[in-house]
Amino acid sequence: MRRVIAWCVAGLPFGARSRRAIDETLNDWTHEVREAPTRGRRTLTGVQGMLSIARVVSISIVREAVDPGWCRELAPRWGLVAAVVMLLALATAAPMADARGVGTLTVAVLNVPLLLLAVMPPAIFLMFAWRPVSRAVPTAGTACVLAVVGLALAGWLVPFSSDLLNDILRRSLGATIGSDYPPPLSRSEALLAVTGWACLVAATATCAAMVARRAPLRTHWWLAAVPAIYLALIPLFTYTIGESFLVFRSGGDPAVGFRPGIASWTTAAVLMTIAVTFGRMDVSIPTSKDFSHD
Amino acid sequence: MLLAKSEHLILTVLTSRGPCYGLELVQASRGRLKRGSVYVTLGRMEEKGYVTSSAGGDDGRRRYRPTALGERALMAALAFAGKIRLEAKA
Repeated sequence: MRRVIAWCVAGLPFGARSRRAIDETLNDWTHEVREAPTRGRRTLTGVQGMLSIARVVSISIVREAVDPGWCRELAPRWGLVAAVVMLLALATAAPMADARGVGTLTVAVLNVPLLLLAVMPPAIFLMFAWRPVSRAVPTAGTACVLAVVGLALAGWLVPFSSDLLNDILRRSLGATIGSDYPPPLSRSEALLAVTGWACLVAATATCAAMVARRAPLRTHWWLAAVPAIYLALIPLFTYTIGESFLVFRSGGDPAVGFRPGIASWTTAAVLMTIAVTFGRMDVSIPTSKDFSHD
Repeated sequence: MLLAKSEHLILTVLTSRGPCYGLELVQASRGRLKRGSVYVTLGRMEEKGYVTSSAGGDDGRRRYRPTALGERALMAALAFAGKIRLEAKA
């Protein structure tokens, strides 16, 4: 158990101060297990060790989350994301508004939370993985802050704006609101989908933090990867967002069920495994000694 | 000079017992310092210059000892607490 916990924690992107506190707590745990004279004492030490690791990890995450260093110098990038989201919202709203005779700006504004949700994971990855030398690296605290933002967005803002938009669209068709439409996701399905999305955001931020530490994208070549990232994500978006959070649904549509939540959780788990494994890899930088032939 | 409760306790133990491992500090504090948070506090104190650490053995554990600044901070905190107590009595 101790080795598994140590393996997982070693792969997470903690800052230097947090890393040292966690490593020292792990060293104490190892020392106590080695010194324990009986099996019962070893078990007790194991429980105490797990609790102490949980405590030091929680304290470290909270401390890193309240440190605003990670979002300094990122204002232009957040501005770029906002501009892209607004352009996408206007582009998707215009045909819908023309066809239904509703205000373009209203539809566009109500579309913004959903588009922001869709843009968030790749935008987070690109923003944080690209890191000039002077910029602070994102940490596990950063990933937690972004997960909370993702939770609020997917759990509250997107359903709220989607309901309003659906009402407007139904009114434009002269339909009676609430009749003939399939019910929204059940509470457990919605919970799975929303928490899955928040975990996906956290996993993306963790991946970005690992790339920023190990091989920061210092040039702009990564821009070429944006279309590829979106192509890869289209099926995920179709599963997780398209059918669960919005879409003008008719009475004949099949129930969505747990599929979106499972898709989000699976993707988040895969990304987190990649991040933790990548984070643990020791990159050895060759020195002049490695090239000497003596 | 203000010291947090845990910093005060750590400096008191270190001054009275000499260099200690983090775990020894936890045991000496009789439950007032927790295993999971002691190194966070020690790290912060090291940054402030109140304690210093050195590798203690093969197991990667570090021994902590108070610096002159840490000892002065503890004296100042004790003097301040004594003064407050006297004023409260008066």
